[in-house]
Amino acid sequence: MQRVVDATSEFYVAVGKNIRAARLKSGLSQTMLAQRIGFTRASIANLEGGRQRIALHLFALIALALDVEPVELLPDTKILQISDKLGRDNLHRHLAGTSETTQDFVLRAVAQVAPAAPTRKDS
Amino acid sequence: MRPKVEYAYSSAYSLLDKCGIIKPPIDVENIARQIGAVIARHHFDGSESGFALRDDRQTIIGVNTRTSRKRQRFTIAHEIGHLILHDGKPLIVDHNMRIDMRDDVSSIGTDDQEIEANAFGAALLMPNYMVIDRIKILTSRPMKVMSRDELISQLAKEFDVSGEAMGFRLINLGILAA
Repeated sequence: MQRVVDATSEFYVAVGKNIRAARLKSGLSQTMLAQRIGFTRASIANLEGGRQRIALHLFALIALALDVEPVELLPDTKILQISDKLGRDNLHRHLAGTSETTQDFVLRAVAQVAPAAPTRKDS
Repeated sequence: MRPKVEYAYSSAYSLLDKCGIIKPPIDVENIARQIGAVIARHHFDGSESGFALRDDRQTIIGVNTRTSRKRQRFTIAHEIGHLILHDGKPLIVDHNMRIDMRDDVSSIGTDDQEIEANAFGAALLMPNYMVIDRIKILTSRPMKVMSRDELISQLAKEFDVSGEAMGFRLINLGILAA
């Protein structure tokens, strides 16, 4: 369990780092950024530390305040793909030793509620 | 070690209590949601009736929709039983019939666990206090004499379970003779 939780946390830590870097580049202090978007300085600090999981519109608002494209603040989504893969590997481990039909049933049922991450064509 | 049937019953009742469910028919999907489980339905031609999975990311109750709706309700109640009673096993797959036990095992509940989950499922769908309440009301109606079969089918309807399941339950509760 811990690993995947950590992967998600890791994603937000990366978001926070990107925001911090963009803020420093734009020459704003945490307080100044906070004032621009109606946050407290503490929540900016939490965001930058990856301790707060930011809502999408606030994410966009911060990008606007820092005069960058939102996508520039997004970390590499591979972080999350790794997390997805870990989850899936575990499922396969739980299924080891079961019959093919059981594996088929469980994997198909799980796919109904947890669609697989889109496969990338890296080559 | 013997199956802890009484513990399974009382766990089912305290779960109903916690979920604030006080009358039949029992909404098992609501209970599943309240314990944080997602229900995954899949029509499948194998003997698998359902499973309980505690994945890294979520808790999933799998249901084979090839079986009847009432049977699916029982499967969900049974799987909730596994989740509540049987910590530790990340995956338990249930079968309608245990045909091939050789291909083991790691994912199949022990016999004791199956007995406990069945007891839990029956108690969750047909709690003794609700069944007894309804019987008192049904049999106190004037001008109404009920046969054994009528009683079973009326209760089965009210609790949204099969007549077979209700029949077993009434025998288990000592209300009907076997």
